[in-house]
Amino acid sequence: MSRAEQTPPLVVPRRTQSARLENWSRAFYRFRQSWLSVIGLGIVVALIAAALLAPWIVPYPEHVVGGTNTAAKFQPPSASAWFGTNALGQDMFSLVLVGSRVSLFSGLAVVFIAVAVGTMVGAVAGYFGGWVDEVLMRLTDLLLTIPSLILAMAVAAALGTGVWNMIIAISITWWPAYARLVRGEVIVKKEEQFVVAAHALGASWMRILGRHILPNIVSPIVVKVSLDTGFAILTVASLGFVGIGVKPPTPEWGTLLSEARRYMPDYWWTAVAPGSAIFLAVLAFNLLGDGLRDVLDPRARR
Amino acid sequence: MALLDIKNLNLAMTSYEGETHILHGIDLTIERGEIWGMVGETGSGKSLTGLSVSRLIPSPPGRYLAGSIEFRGKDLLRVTDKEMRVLRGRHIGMIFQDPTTNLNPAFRIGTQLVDVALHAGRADPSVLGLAAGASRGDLRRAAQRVAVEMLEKVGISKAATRINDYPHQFSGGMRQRVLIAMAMIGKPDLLIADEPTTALDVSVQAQILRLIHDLVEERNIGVLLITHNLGVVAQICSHVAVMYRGRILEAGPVGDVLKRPGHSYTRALLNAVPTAYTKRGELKGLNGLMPETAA
Amino acid sequence: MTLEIQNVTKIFPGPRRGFFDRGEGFTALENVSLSVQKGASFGLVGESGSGKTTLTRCILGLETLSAGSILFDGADIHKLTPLQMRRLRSRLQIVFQDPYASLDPRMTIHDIVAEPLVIHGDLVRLDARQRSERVLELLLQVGLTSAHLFRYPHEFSGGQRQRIGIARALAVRPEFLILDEPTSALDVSVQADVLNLLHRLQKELGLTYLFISHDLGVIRYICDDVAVIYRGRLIEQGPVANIFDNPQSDYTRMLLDAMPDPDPDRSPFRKAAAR
Repeated sequence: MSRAEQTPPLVVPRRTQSARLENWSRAFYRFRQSWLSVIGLGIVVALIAAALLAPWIVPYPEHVVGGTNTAAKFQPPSASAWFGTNALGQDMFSLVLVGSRVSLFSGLAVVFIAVAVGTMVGAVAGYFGGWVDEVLMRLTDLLLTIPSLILAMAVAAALGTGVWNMIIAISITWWPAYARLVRGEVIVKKEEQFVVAAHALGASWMRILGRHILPNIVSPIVVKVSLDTGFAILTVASLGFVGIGVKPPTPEWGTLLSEARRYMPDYWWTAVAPGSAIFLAVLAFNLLGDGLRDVLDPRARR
Repeated sequence: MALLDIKNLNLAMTSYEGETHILHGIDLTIERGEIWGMVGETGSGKSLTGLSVSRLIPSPPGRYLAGSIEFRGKDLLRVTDKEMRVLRGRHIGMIFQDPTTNLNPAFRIGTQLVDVALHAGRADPSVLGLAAGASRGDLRRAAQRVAVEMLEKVGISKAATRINDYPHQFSGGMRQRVLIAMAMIGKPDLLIADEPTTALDVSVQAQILRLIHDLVEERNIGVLLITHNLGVVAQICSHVAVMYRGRILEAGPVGDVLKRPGHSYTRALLNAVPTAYTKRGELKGLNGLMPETAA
Repeated sequence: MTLEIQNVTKIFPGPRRGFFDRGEGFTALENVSLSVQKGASFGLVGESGSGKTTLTRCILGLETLSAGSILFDGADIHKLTPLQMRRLRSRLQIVFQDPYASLDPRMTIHDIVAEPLVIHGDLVRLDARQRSERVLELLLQVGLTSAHLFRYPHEFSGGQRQRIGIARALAVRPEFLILDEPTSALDVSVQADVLNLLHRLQKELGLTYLFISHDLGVIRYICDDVAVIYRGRLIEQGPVANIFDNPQSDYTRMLLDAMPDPDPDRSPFRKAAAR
């Protein structure tokens, strides 16, 4: 009857990747159902590729490091300068292209730091509850009550300008949102039966949190990361716009936009180029986030 | 003319794996006064049959390959969405398994009942005991009255005050009664109950079954009761259809099918239920009994 | 004697009112006493809200007691050191009601079944290969195959998942299994297979069962002794045959009457019609 008697010595088959692969292809199948999110993914991939390859594909590398060509200032968009040139005769396309490096990198770094700190704080608060929860959550509430852009400006002003100072300044205002999200998810998952099962097996809290709870709340975090990355890029640009971001001559979208402000509306292209870049990045990450939400929502799992 | 006449219903569903043929030619006729039990295991297609009658299968992913579902002579697969909405509120009542998720926790029980009553009343004022062309005020007052009446009817005491409660103040059995009240407000001719007692305790299950039984006696409606519990079927159904992998294997009066099952699968299902007289080791599972390509 | 529950009372604190005050508590268990003998299968019957889930959580040490004690082999489980508690957990395992919720959706079957072996690694002392072999041995024991090893829970049917849950519970060779409604989420046909599997495993491995269910047919089929619990109190207990054939309390009688019998001739409605 039982198969155990028919099977001679146990032969453990090798771990295959097929099940995992199939999960991925299933996920992609659901993702493809929405063409908007596919476009979002496409733009995100294109933006990141452009940022990575920028030093090699930039048409006027000398403009990026501060070189000027005043003879060709305020050229409208043309075949030689796709986005026109600015007051110093620099090629806007080159500036926007290289500027994407700072903008995308800072945006992603902000979200990464916020996720790391927020997840840790939220997971501990949600799992242990009680006074640990009270203390950590009051701290996050405190940070949430301060308008994030103003706090970031204050911190950035105190730390001085520079990419990393700006990233740290924004991250300080961003992690509380993740702490809240993760805490809520952890509290829900804590009551799930497979977590109770792990308790009953005698698993330690580190194991329960790390092996059972956190892997199961990755979905909402990933969705929020994707939606947030767009806004992080926007915040980075805002700080650049008000002059607390990256120092020129390093091109950055917000700074470029800020400079262009003076020449509006006659030389509109100097503003439209970095503006559209910001718009495109924010839109793409949002579309991607919406698509991911559909894919990762466990209620839609089938 | 039969109340409900399902003929050669064929349904396919599209998923990641592609299109799968799910229902293979379902034939079923329900007359007034009959309680049809539809039994089968998970994935046998019994719920999809019920949802098809209420036309609640979205398309895509669902697609009907062939067949018809005639309700009082009208093919439900071919009526417009608007007609279907009227039919659903007025002539076809539905109860689902989980009474918790089918009530909105943010609204009072009364509000939700009155909404349903108003919807039915707008389509046909006679449901609320009004003549055609009744004013909105009349409708609202009548809806309020009918909501309380129905709640009393399904056995909720002090209905006039409990109508102001929120769903969480009701127990699981009471919530299921509310859903039955909701389904019965339009005075439907056909009631579709999909596992109405599965989430409930046995003592509450007995009460709900009695309620459905009495409603049939009193109003002479037809019922399609979808369940995996043969005990429930034996208790209140007049007829039973045994489903397996999208096909009806056997159908007929309960006394015939359950007492003298014609199909080995039905027999196996009956043997799988532990009763007061089953000896340890006598219970038989269905492993390997039905081949994958069972007809 | 394996498990002894002595006068256990559990009162959940009421909702907070103001800063210091609390509302009236909810008594989930009131003076519950029962004992499960080694090698027996003991049934606990109750409907929702009867306190049977609270009792299992108390036995597992997931809840503190308001009064009374729970002894496992003579040792009070609420007075154990953390290390002793871990040792106890390896001897006392649980199979949950809902096979869809009790398996971590992001782990393979191999990892799920191997988890107790990893957690109690200091006790079972298996290397990774031996662990995999033990996992396979367990899967075969519960009627699954090596092909299932590296798949994910969502790829399995309810019955198969419950088998996985049973394999996980058996991994560290426990003596005592709490079966919390292990078949109530399953189809009858699958339920029969799982019940027979549990019966076979009990004989083969000499297990002791505490079988919790609201289905009297299932309890009667698998258990030797039974206790009926209602609103946190034990109504009656004794050998299955006694309780079922000669119930002493109205509540037990009502439960027996309400149990739907698949014989149409026994339907209360038809009886009424025939009269």
